[in-house]
Amino acid sequence: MIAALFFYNKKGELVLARTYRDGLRRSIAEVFRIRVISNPSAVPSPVLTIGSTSYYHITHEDLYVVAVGRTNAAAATIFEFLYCLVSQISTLLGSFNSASVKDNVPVLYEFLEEVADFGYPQITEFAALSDHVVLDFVSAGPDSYQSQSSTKSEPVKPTAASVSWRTPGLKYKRNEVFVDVIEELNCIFNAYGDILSASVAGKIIMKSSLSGTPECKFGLNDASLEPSPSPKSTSFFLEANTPTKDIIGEDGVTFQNCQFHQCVRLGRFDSDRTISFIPPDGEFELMTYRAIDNIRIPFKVFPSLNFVGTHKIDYNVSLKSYHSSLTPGSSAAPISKLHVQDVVITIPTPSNVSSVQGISTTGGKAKYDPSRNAIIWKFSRLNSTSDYSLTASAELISMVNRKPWAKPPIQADFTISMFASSGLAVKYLKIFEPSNYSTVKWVKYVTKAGSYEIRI
Amino acid sequence: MSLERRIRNALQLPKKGEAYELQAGLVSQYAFERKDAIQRVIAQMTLGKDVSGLFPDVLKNIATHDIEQKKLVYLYLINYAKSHPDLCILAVNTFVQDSENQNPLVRALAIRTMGCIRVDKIIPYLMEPLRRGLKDESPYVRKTAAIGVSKLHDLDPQTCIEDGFLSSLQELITDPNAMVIANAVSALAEIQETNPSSEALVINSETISTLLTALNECSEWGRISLLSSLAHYKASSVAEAEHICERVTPQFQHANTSVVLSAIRAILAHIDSVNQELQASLVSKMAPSLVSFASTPPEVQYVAFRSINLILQKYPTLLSKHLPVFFCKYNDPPYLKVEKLNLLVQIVDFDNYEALLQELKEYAVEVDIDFVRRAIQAIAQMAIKIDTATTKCIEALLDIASVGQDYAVEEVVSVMKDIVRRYPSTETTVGYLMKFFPRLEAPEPRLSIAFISGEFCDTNPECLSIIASMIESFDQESPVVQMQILTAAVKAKLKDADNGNQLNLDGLFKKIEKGNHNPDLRDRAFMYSRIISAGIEIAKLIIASDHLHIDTITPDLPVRLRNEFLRDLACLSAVYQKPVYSFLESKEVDVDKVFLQAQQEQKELAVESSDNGNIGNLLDIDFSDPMPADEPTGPKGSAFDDLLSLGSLSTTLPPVNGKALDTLTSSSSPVGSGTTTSGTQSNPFGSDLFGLGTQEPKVREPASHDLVDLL
Repeated sequence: MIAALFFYNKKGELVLARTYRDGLRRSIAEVFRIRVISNPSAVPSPVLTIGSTSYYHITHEDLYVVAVGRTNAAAATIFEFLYCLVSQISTLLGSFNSASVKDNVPVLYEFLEEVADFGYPQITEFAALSDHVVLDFVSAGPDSYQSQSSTKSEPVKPTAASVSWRTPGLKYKRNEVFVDVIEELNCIFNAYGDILSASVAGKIIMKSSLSGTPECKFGLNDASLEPSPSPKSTSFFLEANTPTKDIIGEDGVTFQNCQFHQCVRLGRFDSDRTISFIPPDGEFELMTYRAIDNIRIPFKVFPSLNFVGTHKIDYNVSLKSYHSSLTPGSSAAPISKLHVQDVVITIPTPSNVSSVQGISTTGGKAKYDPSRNAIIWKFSRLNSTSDYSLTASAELISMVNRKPWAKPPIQADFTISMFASSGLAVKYLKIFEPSNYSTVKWVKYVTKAGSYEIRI
Repeated sequence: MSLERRIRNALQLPKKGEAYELQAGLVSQYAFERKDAIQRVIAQMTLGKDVSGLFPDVLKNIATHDIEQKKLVYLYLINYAKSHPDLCILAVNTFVQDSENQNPLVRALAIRTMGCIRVDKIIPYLMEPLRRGLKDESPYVRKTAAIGVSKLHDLDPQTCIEDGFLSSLQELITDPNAMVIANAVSALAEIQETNPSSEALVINSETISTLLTALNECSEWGRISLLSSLAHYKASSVAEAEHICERVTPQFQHANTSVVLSAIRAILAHIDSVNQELQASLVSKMAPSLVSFASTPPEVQYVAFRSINLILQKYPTLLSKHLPVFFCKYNDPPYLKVEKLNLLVQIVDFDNYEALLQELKEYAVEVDIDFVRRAIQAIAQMAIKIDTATTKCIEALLDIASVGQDYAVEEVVSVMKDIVRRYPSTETTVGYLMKFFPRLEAPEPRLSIAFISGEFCDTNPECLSIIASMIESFDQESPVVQMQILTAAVKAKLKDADNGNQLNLDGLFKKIEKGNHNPDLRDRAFMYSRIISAGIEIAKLIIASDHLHIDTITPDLPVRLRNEFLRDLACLSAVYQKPVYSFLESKEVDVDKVFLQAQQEQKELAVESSDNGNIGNLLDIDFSDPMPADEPTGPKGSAFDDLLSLGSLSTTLPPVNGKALDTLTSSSSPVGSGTTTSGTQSNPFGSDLFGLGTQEPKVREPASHDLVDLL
């Protein structure tokens, strides 16, 4: 498995190293620096075998996070582990970069000690880890830990419990659950507005502060469960902003696939599609899913670029709200009352632009941003019947060594709140706990642009 | 760090030397100063400074109730134990005491750390705590002890087995706690791997049910090790295999890609023994999980896509409905785009090729040269794979060539040779292709033009003049192209296309005989001239015969090898699609050698000398490597056999031509470079003696290297 973990900064200096197996010398770390960091353009893949040592690397902020292995190890496991490390350390330190690493070397060593043993990943759940690692190390002095550890005279700790992700015996005055449905809309359009591919990558984030060991049951409008529109369930728990029928489609959602957090009983889901689990304390990603049917998109962009000789490009970009379902003939209602917010459309320009002139729009604000090589067109809010256009012309400097322009796609960014573009709706969340306390539950829907690209 | 300390540090004008200061801190009478000093020692250690001189002083701080400080001291110990084996023994007492501490965290910590101190002397002291740990009431300690056994085995296999640790570890497979089971399985699997005779990991029908139960309870990492052990288990009955499959499929829904891949791996190991109906349902359940990989981080995607590549070889139609998922995004890293293109070509079929063709046309006008080339290759592969798509693909290719940059033109010309070979009826394009000839500089497109000219010289008059002009510039061509020009010229002669006697074949033969130092080329010229002298009709049969049929220019792996890789799905060998021994040398590797090699390569990068590279290749132990990882391979296996027989022939029979001829003419498979003697340039395509044309579309590593390795 993993023989060592190396953390380099961008210059290739080792800021932290932890070896799990012996027989590795420091020159092993040098090899990676020479082969990858000093020559990043020649890296053919994220995993490299040099000699018989394999390097698996990912990057995060200004760091290279590298695992080293000497065996025919499971590459997928190692990459998942590295990403897990990055997210856990980011939570642990607030930010994870070479500066924060330098300031927290002892804590990180302690952390790396717990997450893997002899190169085998062990406990990577933040909640469970906090019992092993002194998380408040920086703020609290050693004395506070002393007293803490003495109270832990019988800490038969998480791994002992039947659910490794939850510490038993939690108590909260106010039992609350927040459910966030966050959808990312990934679309690729061609210049004529045809959709080349469209999908929704959604995730459901749950933040719970629940006492005891609660058993949860979670219900969605899963199309495979309800062939016909469901009767209004009485177990709706939404406090406010209950999505009206025109927001949430009549039909259920057909999931292409859903992946669950490890606390979910996968066997139950497989047999009768019930999502039941004992949640870890705090925030976690309950599930991620993918949907491609009945996706509703908020708007389309129609770019038209006119190359006038080699010195000028005329832009004529129009934007049309497009509030109905992608699939013609589907019963999903058009989006009418929704507002698309924070719309930012990034229209790329070549790098040899000397100036962009005559930017005029029929709505929104647009300006040329030389640092990003793009015209940025912003709307704070778009409503359902918007139809705007932008015209501009970019003057080009002729260059001696003219490389053709890569023509990156137009990117759009936006947020739509209380809307799930896949039509997903949370139907119920039932919580069973022996003490039978009442729980306050909240749900929120957000649709964001994932990679919303329009080719030019 | 306390405020006081910080102020003091700031005020201290000239430092008295880091080591001195640290040492003073380590023996300070104040606990906080000692702790601070330890932390700084650890920080120094991280930076690569040698602080082993402080060993005795650090060791003094081991007896503490502060777990955090203890961990740091332990860490220091692990790092420097090798250089101070004797002093380590001083710490043993603390370890043994700690292993009896009432806090399971401390007990586990002691066992874990002792295992990491790789000093033989510690073994006798380690044994007792480890044995207790395996029976500890706390699962946390037991799971640590399980890994501890694996550490012990690594250090001293004999003690580990003889003193019964292995059997205690085997008992942990039936432990009530899932995490313990998972770690025990991991440890046993490793022992098994390093020492196959130990038969450490024994899974039978009884343990299977415990493993399956534990599967739902343990952490994601535990699941992975359980699932991999299931992948290596052979079910004793159909019912058992079905049971395993049913219990494993829910894991397809796990958020961790590696768990999903491991689950697929386990299912694929048993899928062939279950009934048809279940097989179909399992396969259909697999598809959505594979698609979901497309939304993971790029590095994970890379591994996942390499795995999908293998799975698709077994189930080619699995993802045909999901083609657009694998379209390249603008900001995908280059390695991912390459993998996506490979998958797209694998997935594409009669129903969805138009969408892909549209997409590939877009890729072909991007600016990344390598990506454009690969997109063009992908179009060619599509043309060869789906015969109804051919016309549209060729149209697209010619469109690209008519507007594209030189590299695009060159690539189009290069791939066209495979298409016209597959569909001789498409020779109508030949005349058009010949127009590009003056723009071509790289060997590969020129080789392609030479091949096409040789093939179609009887129907296309331009071809003849092209061959003639290539003969003119013969000495400037690269060796692979020279080979092909020779073959083309001979073909033209045999096909009686050369009415006007434009081609001076005898002159060419003479030129090669006299002035060329490439033995491959000379041998080929000799052979051709002798075959021709044996009779035109025979020569026609041999040299200008029909081609072997090709279905693809990216052939699948042989089934046995593929299944082997599927069993190791998501492991390195499956990612590289190379057998383990081909990229992992024995365990004892000279690190310095690797280091020097890396430095050497860096220098070479600067020099960019191909000769050096070739020498490096010769030194590499890569012979009998049937599967280069990232390039489409031709029928290497068969070519290799030919090499073998010819190679041995050439050693026993120096004047090989006459004898080899018999072998060659009776052999129907594409023949590799026949009588190569040393590291000269030759190419499988170019050395295609009889114009049979191998499936090799690219200029590759000279085959002669393999031969040299063999001899």
